[in-house]
Amino acid sequence: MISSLFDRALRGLAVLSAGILGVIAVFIALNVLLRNLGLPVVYGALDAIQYALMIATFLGAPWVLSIGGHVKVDLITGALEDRAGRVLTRITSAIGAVTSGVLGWYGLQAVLASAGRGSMIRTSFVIPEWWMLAFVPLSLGLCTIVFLRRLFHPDPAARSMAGL
Amino acid sequence: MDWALILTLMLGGLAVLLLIGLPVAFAFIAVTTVGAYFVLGGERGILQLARNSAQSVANFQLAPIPLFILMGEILFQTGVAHRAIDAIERVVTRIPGRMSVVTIFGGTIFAALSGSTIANTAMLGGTLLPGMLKRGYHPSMAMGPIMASGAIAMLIPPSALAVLVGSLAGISIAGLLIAGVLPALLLAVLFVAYVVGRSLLDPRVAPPDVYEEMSLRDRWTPFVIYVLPLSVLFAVVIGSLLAGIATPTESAALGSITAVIIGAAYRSLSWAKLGKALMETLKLSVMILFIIAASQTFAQVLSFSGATSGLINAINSFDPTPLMVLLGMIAILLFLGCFIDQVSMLMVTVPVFVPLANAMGINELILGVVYLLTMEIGLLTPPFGLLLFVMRGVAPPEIRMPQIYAAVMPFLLIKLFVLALIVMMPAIATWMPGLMGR
Repeated sequence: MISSLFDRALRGLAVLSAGILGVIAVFIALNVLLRNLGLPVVYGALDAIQYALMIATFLGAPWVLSIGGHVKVDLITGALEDRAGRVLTRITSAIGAVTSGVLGWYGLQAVLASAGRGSMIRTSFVIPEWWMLAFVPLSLGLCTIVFLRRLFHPDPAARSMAGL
Repeated sequence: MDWALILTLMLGGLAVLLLIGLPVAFAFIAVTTVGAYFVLGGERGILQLARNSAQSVANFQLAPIPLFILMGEILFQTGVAHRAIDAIERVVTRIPGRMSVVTIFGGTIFAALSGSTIANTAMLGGTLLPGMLKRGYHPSMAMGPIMASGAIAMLIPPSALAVLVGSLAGISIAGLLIAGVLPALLLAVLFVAYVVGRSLLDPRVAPPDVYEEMSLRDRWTPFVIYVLPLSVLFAVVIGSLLAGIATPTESAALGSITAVIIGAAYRSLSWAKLGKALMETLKLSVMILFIIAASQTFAQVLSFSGATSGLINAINSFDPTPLMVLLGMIAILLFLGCFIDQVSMLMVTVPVFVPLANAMGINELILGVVYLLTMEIGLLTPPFGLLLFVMRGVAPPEIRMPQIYAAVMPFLLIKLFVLALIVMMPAIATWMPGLMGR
């Protein structure tokens, strides 16, 4: 029950991220059109797109992890029996959880320090820096949960087809 | 700590984490976190990594990656690409190894519309392989061209990985996108020559098929309807880059919007398909960009530890010529390509190769094209090339893995030949970028 709610939340964030990518395409194309018509372009689009790209990446990452979409090298894992595969999945999930947890924790410290200092981003917009930094601990926190869930319920994924 | 020890620990640690199957992005984050702790000043180093990870991705230069992927996904989801392949099949007639040639034409055209080698290979395999096997084509003549031309998508714009190479290595992205065109076309021509030559020498591998007799009108109408309009897309993306009127990001956005318009014009677009295309785009883009989140700090750790300069000095002490260095880089990239994915190949080598190439005076576009071509070869090298497994996924069950390995071999040799040709005649890669914006 909690697990399926969590999955829905991850998917919700992913749909939001996918929408952001679509909006990026529309805004860049619109700017090219406006510029070539000699009209004023959308103010701050370039800066907004940089942040949007970062937000989409960090919000989408936990969902991609949960569906096994992050590319991995399955030299060894692809050749293992189910039982051994499960053991290895537990080991990698534990390492993944520690990694995401540690970086997520320090990401949170960076957010708190930035908010405490009152650091601002001054580009086309003036916004508190921690607004942008906050996506790092949020994303890594969710990734930690995904890894922990896999640690306790290992499901040796099928051969990864992620890549370009 | 000694730079050689740090380098060994970081690369060794990375190799172990990758081998046990930790997703690549998290393997990079893990070794970079440990490296940042020891090299960049303890906890401060990890804080720096957290801040850098947001900054690395908030980069306008990376925007073409999702946009190029989106463009290909829209054409794929709306079925426009499949219909184009059918139309090409009708107009290619009276050539030995006809279906293999159709595959190469179709693969090259779709490569110019999509940056995904997997989507390209899966589509070609799904649409053309069953027909070829039924007509009695030898599996090597059926599967080889599919994998070989599927991989060309990495070289012809829109190539998301060309954007990544340009962005990480500090090479002109527009220049690199254009630099891939001629080598890719050369590959396609050589593939066709091989297919025709082999079919003439041994007609059993590609039995001359009885294709439907049809009027000239019936033969060409689908081509005019389904293939010619795609040239608009090609003109928008490559034309705008070549004419110097759009940045890669802008050309990618225009390409995505044009793909939507084309899909709508064929009445093949629905909200569901657009949504599917966007979600698939997110999956592939996040996979790449999340690895990039660790890139800046990974390079910083190598640089601060003295590993980058130590390694370069060690290489310089042999007093090598630029050609020797380039050949050494190619050997390393080909070796890595047998075992690890394309983004990891870049992440591990760029911090050393780029300063080394600069010091040696190696042309940056040549380095970029060498990266793209070796990464493309890495997708096809047995035993673990990703496209070999994509092929396995779409091939009928009686096809065994060794047959797939054998099928790709002649085409791998052609790719290595073109790689050698580019090293000997760099103009193959640098000529077209020289024409840009004139």
